[in-house]
Amino acid sequence: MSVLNVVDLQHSFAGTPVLKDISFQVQKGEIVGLIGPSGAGKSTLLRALCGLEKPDSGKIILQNQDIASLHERELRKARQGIGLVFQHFNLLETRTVTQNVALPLKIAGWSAQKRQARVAELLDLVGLSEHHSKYPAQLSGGQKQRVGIARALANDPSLLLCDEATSALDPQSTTTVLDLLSDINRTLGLTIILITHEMEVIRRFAQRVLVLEQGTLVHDGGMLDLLTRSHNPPAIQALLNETRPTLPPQLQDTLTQEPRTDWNVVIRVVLVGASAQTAFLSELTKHFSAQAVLVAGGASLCAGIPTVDMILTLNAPLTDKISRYLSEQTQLMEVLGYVPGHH
Amino acid sequence: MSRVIINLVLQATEQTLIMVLAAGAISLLVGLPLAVIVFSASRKELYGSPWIARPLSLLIDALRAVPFIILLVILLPVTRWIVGTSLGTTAAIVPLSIAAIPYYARIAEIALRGVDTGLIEAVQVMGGSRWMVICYGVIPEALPSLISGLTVTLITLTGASAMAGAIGAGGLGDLAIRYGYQRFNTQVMVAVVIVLIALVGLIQAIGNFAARRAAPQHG
Ligand SMILES: Nc1ncnc2c1ncn2[C@@H]1O[C@H](COP(=O)(O)OP(=O)(O)O)[C@@H](O)[C@H]1O
Ligand SMILES: [Mg+2]
Repeated sequence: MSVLNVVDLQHSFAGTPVLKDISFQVQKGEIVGLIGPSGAGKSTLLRALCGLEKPDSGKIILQNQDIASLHERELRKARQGIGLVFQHFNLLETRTVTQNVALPLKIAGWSAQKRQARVAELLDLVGLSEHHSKYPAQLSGGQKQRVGIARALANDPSLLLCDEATSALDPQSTTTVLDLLSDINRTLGLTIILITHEMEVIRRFAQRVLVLEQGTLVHDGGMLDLLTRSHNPPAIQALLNETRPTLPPQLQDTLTQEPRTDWNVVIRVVLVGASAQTAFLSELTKHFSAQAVLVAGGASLCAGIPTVDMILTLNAPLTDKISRYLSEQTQLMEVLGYVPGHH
Repeated sequence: MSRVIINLVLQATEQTLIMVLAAGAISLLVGLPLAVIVFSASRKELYGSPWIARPLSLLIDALRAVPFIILLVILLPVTRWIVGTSLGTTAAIVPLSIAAIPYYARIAEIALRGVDTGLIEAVQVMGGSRWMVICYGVIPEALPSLISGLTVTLITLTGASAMAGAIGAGGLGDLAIRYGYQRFNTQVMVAVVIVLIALVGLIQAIGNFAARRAAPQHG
């Protein structure tokens, strides 16, 4: 069941197009990552989704309503069904944690008594019950963001939008906040769209990735599709490289693209799912009496699926037989170049 | 110090307090809404009506540009029309208010402008109306600055009220000029200056306390 249906969305600022013909759907319970270089239009897209920016044309269908064409009164009502988590938290500094979380409920017209019960429940969910009477200035970044999440969840939204929600946080708080979002997604079945420039976040978290480049949606699919594709647009490749194993500097310096006899071949392989759990390296050595040495990378979870992304050196020429074996066993095999061997 | 002088100073203090507090209250009651109107009209996230914001803003600046002593004279007929007389303490409240309203309106508008746009958007995304954005978001967040601004306005009014002596308003400044300056009565002058310093200090202290209470995270 699709929760959100974006159709041909266009937007421009002062004549400069910022969003060009964006169309995509989001299913209930999905976690969708939105990535792209700075200035690509990610924030503008997210702001359009919650009606903060009125697009020039196109439709944003959320719960049978077109956010893009609603009038103020209906838009205000519809916004109660959308939660937005900000990079810089945007908490009211002169209000306590409780008052911050209660504000959306107050706006939605809840009675003081019902508000109190709901706030207690939300603070419990984000693990901040004991901080209920503190002011934002007395909280750490990670705690502030958890207040931001509790506030965004107050009205039980059908869609949660996060714009760089972890970019202002230290790695440990980032993990806590992501785990919390992950939990909420699992337990409440909440649909989440999340902008980030940290590919690691996408890798661990997103079931689907949308890539924006200069206002155009250039990719809509799994993170694994991106990892196992040898030719990505340069912008995507640059983002991907941040989270992928890279060649150690001493190898990078001697790397050449010309095949030379007695030099080792440097290859990148990606294995996904069941194949990621085979004894790939020892099999390779056994079948071809070629020594495969791991120089970078290893195993991790990508959107919950076991994935191996690694760079190897092989001390044997890449014969057709080895090539065929490698392409059968792996989801991606790329020759990066050649380095002097240590025979 | 003679009883006469003490009585004179006490009476003048009362007159100054009446002028400052009355004009201060009026500047708050009129200036703050004016600031909210200019602020919300100039923000495209709110009303986005520059044709309201600009002329109002211009009017505020124009009024602030007129020296108080000139305002006092220009406003004589208006004062007479409102209070029935153009002389005395009550009459002085009119020009003082007219001077203080744009003064506070500008200070308050700057305070409102200081609130992060992100907070406006946060309240909007919750489904808040423009009115809710202002009442739940902007004003509470700007409250410490709004209070400090009012403190500054009251202190400026204390100074300006001295000039109101020119229309027989009385007050401390007037007393200092008449006895201290024109009659070389040093005692009165010193007494008035001490009372003025104490008064300004008191206003500032109360203002600081209130501003700190409004920004509880620093308390
Ligand atoms: N309010 C605005 N007015 C004018 N231009 C804007 C505004 N907001 C964003 N832009 C421009 O739109 C483009 C996309 O911005 P944004 O959506 O913030 O990108 P991203 O979030 O991907 O970094 C940028 O070129 C930016 O300068
Ligand atoms: Mg952005």
